Amino acid sequence: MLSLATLRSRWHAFLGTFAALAAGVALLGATGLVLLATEPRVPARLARADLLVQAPANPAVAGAWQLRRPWSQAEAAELAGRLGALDGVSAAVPDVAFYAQALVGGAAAGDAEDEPQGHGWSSAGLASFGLTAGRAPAAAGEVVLDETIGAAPGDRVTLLTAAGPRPYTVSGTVDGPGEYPAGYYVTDAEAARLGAGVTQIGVRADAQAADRVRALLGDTAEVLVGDAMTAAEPVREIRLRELAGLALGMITGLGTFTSIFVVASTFAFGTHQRRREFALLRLVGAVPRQVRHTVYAEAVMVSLAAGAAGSVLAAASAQWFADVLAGAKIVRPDLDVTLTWWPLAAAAAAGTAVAVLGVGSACRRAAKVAPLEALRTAAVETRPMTRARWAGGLLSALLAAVMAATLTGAGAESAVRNATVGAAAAVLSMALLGPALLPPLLRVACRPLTRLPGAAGLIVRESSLTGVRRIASATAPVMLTVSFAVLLVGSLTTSQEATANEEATRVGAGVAVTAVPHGAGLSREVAAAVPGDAVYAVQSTVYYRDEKGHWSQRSISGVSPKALAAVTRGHLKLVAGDLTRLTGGAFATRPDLAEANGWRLGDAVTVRAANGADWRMRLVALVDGDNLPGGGEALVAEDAVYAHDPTALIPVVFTDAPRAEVTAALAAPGATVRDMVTWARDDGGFSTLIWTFVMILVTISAGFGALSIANTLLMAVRDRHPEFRLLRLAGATPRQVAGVIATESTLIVALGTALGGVVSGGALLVMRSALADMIGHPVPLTLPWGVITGIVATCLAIALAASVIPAYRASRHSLATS
Amino acid sequence: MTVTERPAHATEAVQLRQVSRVYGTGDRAVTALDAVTLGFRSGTGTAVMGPSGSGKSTLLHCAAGLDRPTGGKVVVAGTDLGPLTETARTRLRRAAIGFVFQSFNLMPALTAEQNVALPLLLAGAKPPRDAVRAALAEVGLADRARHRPSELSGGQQQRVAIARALITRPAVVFADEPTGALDTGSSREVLGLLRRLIDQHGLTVVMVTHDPVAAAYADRVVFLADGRVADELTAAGGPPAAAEIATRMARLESAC
Repeated sequence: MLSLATLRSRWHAFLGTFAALAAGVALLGATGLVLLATEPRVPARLARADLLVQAPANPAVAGAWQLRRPWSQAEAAELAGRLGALDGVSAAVPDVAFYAQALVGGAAAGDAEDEPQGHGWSSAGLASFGLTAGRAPAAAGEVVLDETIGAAPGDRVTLLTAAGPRPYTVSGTVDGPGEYPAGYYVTDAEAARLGAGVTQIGVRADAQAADRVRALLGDTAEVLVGDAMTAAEPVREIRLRELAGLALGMITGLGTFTSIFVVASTFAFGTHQRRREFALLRLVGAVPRQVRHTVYAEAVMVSLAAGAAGSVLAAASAQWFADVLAGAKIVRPDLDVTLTWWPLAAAAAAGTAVAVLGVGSACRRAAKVAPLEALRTAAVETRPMTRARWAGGLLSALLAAVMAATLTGAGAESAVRNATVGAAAAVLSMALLGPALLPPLLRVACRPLTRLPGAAGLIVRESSLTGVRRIASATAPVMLTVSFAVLLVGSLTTSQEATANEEATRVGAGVAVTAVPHGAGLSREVAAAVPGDAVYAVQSTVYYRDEKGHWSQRSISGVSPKALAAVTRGHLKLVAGDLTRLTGGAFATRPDLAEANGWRLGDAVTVRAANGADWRMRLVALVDGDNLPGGGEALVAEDAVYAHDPTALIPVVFTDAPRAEVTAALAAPGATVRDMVTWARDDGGFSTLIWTFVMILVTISAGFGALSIANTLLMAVRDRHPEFRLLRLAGATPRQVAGVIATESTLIVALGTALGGVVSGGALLVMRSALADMIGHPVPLTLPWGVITGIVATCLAIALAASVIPAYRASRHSLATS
Repeated sequence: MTVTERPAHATEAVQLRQVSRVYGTGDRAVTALDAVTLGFRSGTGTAVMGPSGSGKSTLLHCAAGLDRPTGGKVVVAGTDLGPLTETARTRLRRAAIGFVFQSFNLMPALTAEQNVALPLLLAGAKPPRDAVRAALAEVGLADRARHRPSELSGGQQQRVAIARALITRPAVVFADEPTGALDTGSSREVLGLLRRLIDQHGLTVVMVTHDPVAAAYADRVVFLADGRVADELTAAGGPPAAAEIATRMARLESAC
């Protein structure tokens, strides 16, 4: 009864908590709904298959995608023939794939992360979509493609293939599933020529055929039926789902912690304001436990209302949220959110848990209020610095000092980490020690104010000095928000810049040639056309079975003799053997990898190549270096890679030739020429993605921070009505009262910004010098001024709105009501 | 507390024996109460008077178990407060002690009725509606049961506070300047009410005041100075006269 009555009469004191919890529940609920919608699905390209027969997968390896050991095209055809002969099986189609992307307006259609999009026309029989115009490809040089490409039957298009850019004639178009290109379908004969091995066979059959297919294949292949066919989803979707899980996990985590923080701080402030009320309760016979429970009950009731509101908000905004995430390339573009009750219920329950967690310390403080406090006539500001505050604040300061002291001499990565942890500790320490640190700062900050004509400066100075706790409560969220944004965004941009410079210097070439935007890689034809000392490696994968019979996938890099000569001049060191013998079936590897696998010079190793054939390789040299060219685990001759994998691509070509010469030589489409630093900065959209993540986190923290600021100031203003009345009685107009409050709010935002900026800016400077030491040349300090300005402006606008408007309204009425 | 003590003091609702209260330590120590021994008989009204800083409020706080004395012993309704935990003291306060204060101290969020019922609710009892209504009727506010404190006058608020103090049928009611914030008319009403409760219901009242007129409603006036009992006035025939109280007070204050 008491809690409910308090909620009814002091509802404004719970607005901040309600808003924070409702926002948190909405965020959690919408996140849950979006995550549910990212369930795997059967790709439209294979939707009409009744069963999928897949080549066996390798065991999963951390940091690499799980690949399937391909069958050779002949093996797959033979297997498909046997499957097709089974009772109830109407068709069995080997799904040949090869690298293909249409060149549209200087960029590649689709995405660099896509799996090979080229297929034989027979694979089109497995797709849920069909021809919308034209006819099937009938001759080499004809292609059927997605109508979203914008080409009509009879048009000429350029397809980027592993052999090089090639002209094709469109023979027909299909209506693909939406944002993904449906694929490029050529004749089966041409697909066989362009493709490597086969990893899956699509089967059309009746319901009973699955058992017969399994009986035929035994454990030589995996048979997927029904829902299990979602395992054939593109790697890009698996990647996106992992990314979405990560992003949404971070959003959920941050949302939860910030709402705990907001609930804790608003209740702490509210409890302080209501000390007299609690003392009174104690006086009329409430034991401490009852006071504690009263506050808990208030929090739970607010959280229940907020849970309901937040769930409705989540349900209403989930699709919009999914679209925003899709725009940031964190979930797939055509995500349909369906409403399910349980993620919303879970979010609402989490909201209550957050409220209970956040309110804990306020409850304990409320229960500690002595009944005698009800009898004190003046509401004296009790000592704002509790023992716990001192201890926590000094400990955090110590941690910050230790982190700063151990910064130099550590590696770049640990320098960044130490600086971040140190800055976080410094911010926490400032927030905790605020009431002790603020008075001298306030005196300094108010000095210019008191020189102004009028009383505002004096009043602001005195009332903020006597209400240090209020000022500290309002300053803390501004400081936290600003320092979080500066630190996160600043360290990201600074370290990105540093690593890009480092990478560019390490390679030591002048120009980098890569695929056109969204393209997966370069063909040998384009790489060969790069003038100067061109260095590149062609990438492929082989499958290796060790003595115990365990299969694993190994990345290999194929290099030309010219490239090999160039890299051995640089940072690659020959340890043993002879690199001139790196031809045909020879390979070289790092000594540690050779030892781990038990290979000695001259040993022969048989692996399965990407085209499904067995490949006998002999170890001819051991080379040492941080990374083998191309980042592979083994070096082989370029020709050998192409012989075993016609779909192999080259990620990047470096050359020492002047940029203009390179651009002129590559007049044909299919490549991007850039200087080294620009190239190093572009990490395939990865930094854009990180940037998106950071902006999401900064937005969430700024949103909760703004809520916290607004709430603290609103609550403070409500308690200052008598003060406004006194000012009015002393002759101040309502405008002057509003002016005093506006000055104070601006002071609060300025102090918070200054404190947050000093701590995080200091951490960034330290981080910069550590990074510069690491890479041996200066690192520019890149500060996100736009983001910082935006956050400070938002904080200021919200602080002014939350304090000046209610103060003005209150001071207009204060004379009349009393 | 021992069993043998009880019969001897059964008629005293509150006993203070050699009660001292010292604030601070060392050079800064301030003695607010200096070995005060006092008893408050059941069914009587006692006024505690004295100049500012004489220890009136400390005496009240210690007697009511709100403050812990640094020496001596306080016995309320036969129970020694000394060894009790905070929770046990609260329970005792809830059951045996009522409070009335200068600033009324009603919960602003609750109605008059709810404020009166609060001590019973906190004790975990379902407050009988009749008892709450009867208590409000007793103080003349039966028709204001649903009003919140902000909708009541000062005198009315103080009468709600008295009704709240009575609802648990306490052994003693402590009143700290109960008329300090009221005008003359409201003061007389509140004091008359307290007097009637003493006479008709056998209530025990201990009232701290500096107003001789208020003190004149009591059966006994205790004067404190420098933390000690300096003087005492009792009238067998009737309450002490305000003029006599004022004279004694003036004498005390000039002695300070």
